[in-house]
Amino acid sequence: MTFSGRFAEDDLPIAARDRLARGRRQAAFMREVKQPLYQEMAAQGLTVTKLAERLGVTKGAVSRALNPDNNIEAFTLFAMADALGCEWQVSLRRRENTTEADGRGLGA
Amino acid sequence: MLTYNSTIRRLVGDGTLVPWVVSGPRQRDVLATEDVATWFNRLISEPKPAGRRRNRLDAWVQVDGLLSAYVGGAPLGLLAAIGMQPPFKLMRPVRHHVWTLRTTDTRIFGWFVHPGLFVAVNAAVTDTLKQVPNQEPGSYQDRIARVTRWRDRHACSALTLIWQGDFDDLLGALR
Repeated sequence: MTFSGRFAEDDLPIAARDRLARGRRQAAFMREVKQPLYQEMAAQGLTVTKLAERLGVTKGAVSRALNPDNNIEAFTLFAMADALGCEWQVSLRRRENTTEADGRGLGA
Repeated sequence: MLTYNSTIRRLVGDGTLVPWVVSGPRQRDVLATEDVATWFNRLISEPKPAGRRRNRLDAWVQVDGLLSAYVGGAPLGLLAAIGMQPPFKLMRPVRHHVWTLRTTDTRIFGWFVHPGLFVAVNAAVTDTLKQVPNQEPGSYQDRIARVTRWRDRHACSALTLIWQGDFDDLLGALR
């Protein structure tokens, strides 16, 4: 979560706590999207280089897309799953305790 | 509950080192100096640079995710297994046994007491680091030197993990 004692999250300004919470949701989403790709690649014994060959793109492009800190395009997600012989199961549900403030940053 | 040896326990007890806390059970530990904890909290509070890195998680989110994954016991070998850059790197010269925890935009410099306990001494966003080995403040070499000085000053040099194997072995030990 964050550091303890006088550096604890509870002592941060409200705006910073809100940013942290939203950032964590964003990071969790990225993990949910990329983790299955990592796992499937590992299960098939595929490296970034081999996946890049299958996709006909550079290794750097695949590395950037799979980097857990980077955004990934929907077309890229589709292409990677397709190259792995997989398909996505996508669902959307309402979050519990959603506030107006939580929704404001959408698309930011 | 993880336990520390007497030196680390004292440094945690007097507030010299602060633990990273997670909501679930801790499988490993990151202890940070005041410098690192202050740096992280400042990162959260700073506004996002306008027009930059819009296609990337914010730096504090990157750090939050990596530290929480390590402390929460997440397997860290998956990225390396598919040929991606692993999140830990042993810095050169290796005789100092200083490691970095790396995200895309940040570097946290410190050392392992053992594979399950990392002490973070200083940290920076990559934009502020210079890779030239000229000992300039802010360079990687300066950051490494700060770690070794901190270890010496706090009688921790003997508590440094001397890793003889390669990184894959360390990942194995982290599982």
